[in-house]
Amino acid sequence: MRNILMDISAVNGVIGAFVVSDGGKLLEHVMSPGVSQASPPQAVMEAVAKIVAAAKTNGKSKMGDIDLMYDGGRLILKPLGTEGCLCLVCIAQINVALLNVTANLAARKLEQMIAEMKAAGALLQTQPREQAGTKAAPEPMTKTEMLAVLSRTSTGRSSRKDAQ
Amino acid sequence: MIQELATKLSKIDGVDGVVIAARDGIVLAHELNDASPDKEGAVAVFVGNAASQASESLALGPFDWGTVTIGNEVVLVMEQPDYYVGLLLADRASPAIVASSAREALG
Repeated sequence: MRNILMDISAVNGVIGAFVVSDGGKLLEHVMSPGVSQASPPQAVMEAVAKIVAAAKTNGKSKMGDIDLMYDGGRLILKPLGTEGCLCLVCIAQINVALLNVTANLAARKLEQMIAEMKAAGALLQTQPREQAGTKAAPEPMTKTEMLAVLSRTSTGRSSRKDAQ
Repeated sequence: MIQELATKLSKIDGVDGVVIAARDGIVLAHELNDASPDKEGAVAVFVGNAASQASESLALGPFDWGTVTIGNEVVLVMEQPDYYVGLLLADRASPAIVASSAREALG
């Protein structure tokens, strides 16, 4: 799973990629080289779980991507079937079409991978990387660290007020 | 007043439907033909709230707009001080262009 996320985070404009289970649990995360490797705050996972739940309750058959545009970046959510969600933190000006070439393929692989993990009961355990015998996830990134990361990686889209 | 705004937004190129919902999920006005105002309003409110929550945690700045794709339908969500606006986009409509036009209409 980590290798797949590393492929995505190598796309120009991607700041970080993480996978959240349908219950709002962080399964894996990767930040782009040169960016703090701290995991996203738990509040983000809860927000992602809410967004996915909201779209599912609309009663329509299939939920597609959720693309959230902010003044300082972009958050793209790709539902992994009913298993969870692939979350991509990007700069605001990212080429989404180019990103989708890599991300859609990755999403299919991740969906299959999570389904297999779920079937094996792995999601009921704690920290998947600890199970694999690798290093545990670092402490969550603080807001100050995130601001520092974004200021280094974003090309700095000016606010609407500034434009006016 | 709100209904006038919904009507105005529905006339934007690329917009097939409009729902305006208060932060508590109550639908204040809509211009929808087939879709359910309550369901579309709920999606707009939930996505808008969660988008703001994610923004605070990731320090991405203020939420500008967002799109949700459900089936063949794309809903553009925009946040206003007292309510959320959900715009059902037509095929091949650009969310960025529609958002720009909607922002002008919203003042």
